[in-house]
Amino acid sequence: MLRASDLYDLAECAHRLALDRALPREARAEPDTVARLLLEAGLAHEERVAGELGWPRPEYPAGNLAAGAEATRALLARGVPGVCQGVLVDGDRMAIPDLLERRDGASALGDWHYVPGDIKAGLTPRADQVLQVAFAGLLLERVQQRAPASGFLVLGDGRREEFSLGEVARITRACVARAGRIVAGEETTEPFLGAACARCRWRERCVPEMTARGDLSLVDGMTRARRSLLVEAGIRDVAALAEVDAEAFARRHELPFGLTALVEQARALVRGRPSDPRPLDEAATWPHGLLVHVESDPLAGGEPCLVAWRPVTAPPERTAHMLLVGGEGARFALDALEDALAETDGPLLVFGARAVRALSRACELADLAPEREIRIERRIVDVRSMLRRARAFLPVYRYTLDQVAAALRGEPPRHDIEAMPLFARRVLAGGAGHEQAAACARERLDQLADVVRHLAPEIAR
Amino acid sequence: MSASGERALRARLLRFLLRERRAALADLHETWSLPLAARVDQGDAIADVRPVARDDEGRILLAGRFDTARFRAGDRLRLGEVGGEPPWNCPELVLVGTDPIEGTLTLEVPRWDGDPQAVEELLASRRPLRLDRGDVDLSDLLRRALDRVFDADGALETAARALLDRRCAPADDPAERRTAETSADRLGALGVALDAPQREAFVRGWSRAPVHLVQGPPGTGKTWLVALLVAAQAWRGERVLVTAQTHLAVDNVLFALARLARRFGRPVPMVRVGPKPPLARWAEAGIPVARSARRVSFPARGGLVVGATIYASLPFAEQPAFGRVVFDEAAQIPLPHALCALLSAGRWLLVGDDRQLGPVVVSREDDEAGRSIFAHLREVLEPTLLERTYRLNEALCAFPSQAFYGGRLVPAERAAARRLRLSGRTEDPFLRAVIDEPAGPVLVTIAHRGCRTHARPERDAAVEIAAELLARRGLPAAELAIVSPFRQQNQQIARALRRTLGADAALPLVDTVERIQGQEREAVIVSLTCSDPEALSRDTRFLFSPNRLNVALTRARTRLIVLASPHLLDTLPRDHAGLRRVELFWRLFDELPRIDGTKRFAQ
Repeated sequence: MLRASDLYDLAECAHRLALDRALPREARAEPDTVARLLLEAGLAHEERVAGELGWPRPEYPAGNLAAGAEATRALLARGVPGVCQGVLVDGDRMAIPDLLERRDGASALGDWHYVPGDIKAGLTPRADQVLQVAFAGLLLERVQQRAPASGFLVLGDGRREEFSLGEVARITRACVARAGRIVAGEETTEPFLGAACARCRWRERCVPEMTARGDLSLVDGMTRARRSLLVEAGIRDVAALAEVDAEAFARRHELPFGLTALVEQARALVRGRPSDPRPLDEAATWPHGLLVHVESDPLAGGEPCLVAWRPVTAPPERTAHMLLVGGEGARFALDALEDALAETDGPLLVFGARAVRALSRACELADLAPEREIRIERRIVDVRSMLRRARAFLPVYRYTLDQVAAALRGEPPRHDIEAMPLFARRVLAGGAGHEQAAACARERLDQLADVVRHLAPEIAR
Repeated sequence: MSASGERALRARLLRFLLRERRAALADLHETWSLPLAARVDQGDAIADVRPVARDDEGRILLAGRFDTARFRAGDRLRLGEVGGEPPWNCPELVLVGTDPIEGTLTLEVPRWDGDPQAVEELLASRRPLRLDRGDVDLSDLLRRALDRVFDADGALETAARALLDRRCAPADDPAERRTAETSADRLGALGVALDAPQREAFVRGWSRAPVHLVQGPPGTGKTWLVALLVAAQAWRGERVLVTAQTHLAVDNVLFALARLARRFGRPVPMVRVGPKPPLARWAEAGIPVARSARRVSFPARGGLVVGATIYASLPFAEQPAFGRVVFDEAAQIPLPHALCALLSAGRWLLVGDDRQLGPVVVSREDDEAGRSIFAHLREVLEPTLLERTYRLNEALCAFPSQAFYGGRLVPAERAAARRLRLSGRTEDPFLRAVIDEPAGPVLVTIAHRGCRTHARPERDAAVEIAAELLARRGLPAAELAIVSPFRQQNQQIARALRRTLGADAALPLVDTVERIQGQEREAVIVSLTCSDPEALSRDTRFLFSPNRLNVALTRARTRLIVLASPHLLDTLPRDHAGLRRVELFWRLFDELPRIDGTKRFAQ
């Protein structure tokens, strides 16, 4: 049976979909705490929205999908304003959309028809969510003999996003067909280390397997297409990649991409220690800079929740932090950050594009005047991109702050190090509060300070 | 608009301008920090240029290889010694033009802020020189325009703010419509054949309604219609400012006006403000030139057409003297930039097509403040769509019409049946299928994988098809274009084509989609290049941009050959907008006749 949720798995990792069908349920790993919390928050949001609508749900014995589909069809035929958790089944395909909403316009049901919708806790519609609604639309078409023109998502902030199903019809059919092939065992899949692995139910199986055989996906910058071209050219694992002469090999095999960075990254993994960075001219100003970190809250749709800073050369005790609570809180925090910036003429050092975006979002929440926002923005230096510029290759699977800092401490690479955001880890460890925020702020800035010192050792001296 | 609404809008526009400037500077410094070879490779520098002479007007002629550089006439460049001072310490020159046959570049020292002495010292040094991309800083000017629109309380400023706030109901006065229709009939009597949508655009553009939008898809006679409308308005005694973001767009309208005036034997009084050199062509066309907006003298009575870029138009705001401003290519003008010309009159005609490539934004593409004034206004004002294309034949028109214009774009009779005329024939079944058999578009699928910005199989296919068309089937090089979204792919195609055709052969245009917008050719080869779905999934905005696809597909009159890997379609985007973009490519693959070129080029 192909389910709508399979399209979510397909978007995350096709191999997960294959393992779901091939292996017993009890072999799956338990969801981590953040995943559980996210699930709980999602369900609570669903209950709230559905409760406000007050639409009926089909009644059927648990697990009896045929009965559920029949009960749903009966509700739809009555012309109720909407149905919550309706069951749609067509042969070996099944979906339970959160909502089916009545619209005017004739169908096999009467002078009305329905359109599918889902309730999601996030703030922007993801592709897989749209695909799931579109999939439900295909099944609904069989029930009412009319293709629903649109579908919708009710988002975490209550906004409703309606979209044309015709505008995603071909890609939906292609994804459904591919998911069907995988489920039927007609298409083989392979594990590939990616962001989805950290919370995957099969992480305890795939990741050790990939690590043991030195899978090429462990190399940062690899894609599936690149991996398959390398395997065809005779490079099967990280160790082999680390051995090649990058330019000559790429030329000989007419590879459509440069190998230099991939080979350097493979060598760092094999060596198990960071390469020496090339000196950066711009690092001359860093001793006068400010380390800044903005933490995002995954339980609040990824909104920034904490901003922390301290001068590069200051001891950890001088770490300042503020929680970003509402627009007023954000304004207050950014006022303080600007005061700190005014005391130095160096850059504002952050790690990664996500932190830069979070800082920009904090400015937006604070409704900062454009001149002030730009004054902050123009001093930002992304230390992660400086790692690239300095051609500093580290034994990490991905260049996240956690992994980079761990590598600089001499720890071996891990795939799951970012499975739970630091702030969430801290909050879960000791309950929400300033003590946890302070500890989180300090830990993050310590990590950032390590990276900055690696790139500009003169700071340490 | 409430005071707080105005403040918020002003802040959004200002934030956009500041971010753009910051991003442009960062980009420039990043480029300047690269080694010279890398700058040359990405088209941002020309190495080993040497002075050869001065022309009659005292401008500098430099010789060098500039075929991969992406400089355009009017660009500011930095002149330095190879291995000498970094570009930020080098003097500026303005590129006047290039002569590909002689292999020379013509440059001049900027009139107001140049450093002629430093330039002369470099030219006299006898050492190898280099030219680097320079800096263009419009931020002060744009900031002044913003302040002017939002800080003053005159009638024009209030009207402009109402326009920006999109409080502008379209007005249709029946009496005025009758007058406009009479005028259109009069043009008909003079032998001007307007098709129905052009006539509607003419009638609505003629009216005294404050704002009107005309959408001109590819090849629909937009420039000609604008010229006609502006001429008619000037003849009835109106003063009209014709403005656009680029010199080229302003020039196109003014030269079309000059042609109209000759055709009707009735002069159109006009002035071109601050044109790019060479100035001789303006004298030849009989169009007077004014160095700046302040030097334009308006006649006490009668009409006048003034042509100026939006940036050169700002001084007109001090003493508005026009009845109307016509923005050409308005779908490429970012909203805050349009403010420079907005206060020149209280009535605005905006002509453009927001289904083609929009403004170039370097900071954040998703910033609403950076979208075009045309796109901003069309959310509340339905434009008059010019529905008849005189460029695309019937088969070429079908897909863009359905995909981008709701099926409303139709080929004019004389364009619909047009076919590519070539000499001889080929016995090669693949080339026959690609070149001779289909009437319009054809999709050649080549199943390569893992390519990002260059793809050898597509390069080989493009070169083989182009060589057949040019060397054996008699298509002039000027009637062929090869287009890829990626400059690296274009460079490789151009080099391979040069090797195949020989050093003396004329080459077709090989360039990016951005560069070919506004141009047309008899035949066009499009190389989509990329075949790494995972890399594409991260950001679908560039390659899968519907506007970029529209421009690429609508340059050819009779034959379009699209080269692509089917692995493109394995892209699974992360957001809803991305899904819609990729869906369009699924549709392209479904609807275009397909030929598999994998065996020939990728195995």
